[in-house]
Amino acid sequence: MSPMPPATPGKMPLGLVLHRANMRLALLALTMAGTSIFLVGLIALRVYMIDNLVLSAHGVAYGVEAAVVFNDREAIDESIAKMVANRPISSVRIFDRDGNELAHWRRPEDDSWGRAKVERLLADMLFPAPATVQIEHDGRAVGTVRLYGSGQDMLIYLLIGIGCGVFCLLPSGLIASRFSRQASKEIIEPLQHLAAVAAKARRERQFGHRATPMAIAELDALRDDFNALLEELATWQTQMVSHNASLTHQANHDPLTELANRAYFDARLAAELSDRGCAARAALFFIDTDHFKDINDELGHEAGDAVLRTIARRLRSQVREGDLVARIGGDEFAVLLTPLANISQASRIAAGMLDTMKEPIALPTGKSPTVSFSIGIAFYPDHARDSASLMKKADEAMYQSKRAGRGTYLVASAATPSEKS
Amino acid sequence: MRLSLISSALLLVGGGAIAGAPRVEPSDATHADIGTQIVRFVSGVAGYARWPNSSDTHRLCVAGESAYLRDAPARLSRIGGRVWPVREIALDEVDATAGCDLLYLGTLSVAQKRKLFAETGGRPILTISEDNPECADASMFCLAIRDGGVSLLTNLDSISRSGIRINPKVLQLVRRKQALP
Repeated sequence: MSPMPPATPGKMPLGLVLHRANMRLALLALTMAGTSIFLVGLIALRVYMIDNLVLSAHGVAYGVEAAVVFNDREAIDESIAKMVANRPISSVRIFDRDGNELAHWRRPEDDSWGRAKVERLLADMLFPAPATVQIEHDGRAVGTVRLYGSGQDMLIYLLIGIGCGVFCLLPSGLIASRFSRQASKEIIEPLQHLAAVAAKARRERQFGHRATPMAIAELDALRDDFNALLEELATWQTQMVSHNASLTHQANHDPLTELANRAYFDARLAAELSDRGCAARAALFFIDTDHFKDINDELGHEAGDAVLRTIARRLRSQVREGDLVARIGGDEFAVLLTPLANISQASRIAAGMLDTMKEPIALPTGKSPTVSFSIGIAFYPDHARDSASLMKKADEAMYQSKRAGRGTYLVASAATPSEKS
Repeated sequence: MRLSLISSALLLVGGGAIAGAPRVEPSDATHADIGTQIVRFVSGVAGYARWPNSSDTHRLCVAGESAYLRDAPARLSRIGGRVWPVREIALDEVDATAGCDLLYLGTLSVAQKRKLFAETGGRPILTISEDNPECADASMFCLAIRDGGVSLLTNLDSISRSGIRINPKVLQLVRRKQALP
């Protein structure tokens, strides 16, 4: 079974529909989770950075206090440089009590790839105002520290965040895709199996195959119903075949004697002759029961039926396996001997038939009448090449035999006016 | 004997101090600026000092002639420092430094200085001497006026003996400068 059966043009395969839905869901979930984590991180980082900036400002205020008190600018610069060297601070300004600037420290900007610009933009977004802290000495304000935060940490966070997002999205997507395909497969494979069994039943009329148990409950229920349906179809099919067979039998056979009927005999004769061509010889017997009407009249119809059944049995006993015995009229029978090695074989069989009728027929009523035949024989291809002519020849021979004194057989005369014409 | 030991120790510390002690704009410093800076130093040092009696107001005594400290209260208020009562002490008085928390030593003879140090020894009096670039006597803090700028020097030995606690921030600030070549 192929993993993805060729889809009908214009129709989407189930696997693709499921996979698409799964992937959309996975992407949505990942994006939502990633974005929310990223935003929460951003907010938390901002809070921390503002706190950190204020804390740094306090630290700077403490560190430069003595230097401000003694108005030592060099010491102020040194303290600032020492304290903010590794902190996310872009600039520091120190003012004395009167607002005069004592120091202005600025971080040298690294402007590769417009980084400084981005950092400044981020800093403006993050820190709307600088952290301002008073420098106190001996309970009095001696100056002010103003710290301007840098967007450096935020930039790093953004880059790492986006990097991680992309980096995580790839394997997550791959894993989600794999899970999705597996889930789709678990749904599709049983359906494909069902489809295969259904196709086999439809195309090959094979109802013996059954869908195997499935892991998914709904599909398994469907399988149960499907199998039950197959079972019913199989039963119907068998019934129909046997019904057809019995109908065919009824159509081709005589219900009383179980011999072939006239219609079947004609069809079979025609078929045999057309198949045969001139290759082999066949013999056609036309048999009429002598004085059968008398039996019917004197002993009743039931006796007549019993006599006919006995005749049928005896006729059949005289012919070979492949030969055909048929009841073609009330007391008329026809026999087709084929293939026939020679004419004497037919004569022997005819003689055997006449012979077997010499024995009285035991009836349930106790009577045991003796019945005789008149047999007319015509040979193919000696007397005729078509079935109608052959029948006619045999029929004529039978009448001649009857006229000749009943209880005999007679082979049709070689030449007749009808054949000549 | 003891004095000479101290002196040698101070020479070591003070020697470095001259080169790069804190100073205020030496180029355009005027007489008034030096006065302001000196007042700032005095007020700053006092602000970082904790006396054992821990009184809130501190009395500043000035011994000897000092051109810079004459209008100290006005300068103090200008720089936003605490305004203290300033008293000039008579040098010939016995126990002249009684009731002083800070003693500012202006221009004095060696004998006068020795008398004053003899009095302050063992008392919690913070001593600052003006224009003492060697800081080789018993002063706790010394000022060095050079090139129109003022430097602050410390004498750790005297500070430790005085009983006054000086905030290490000041000491750090001064020592940083003293450590410079």
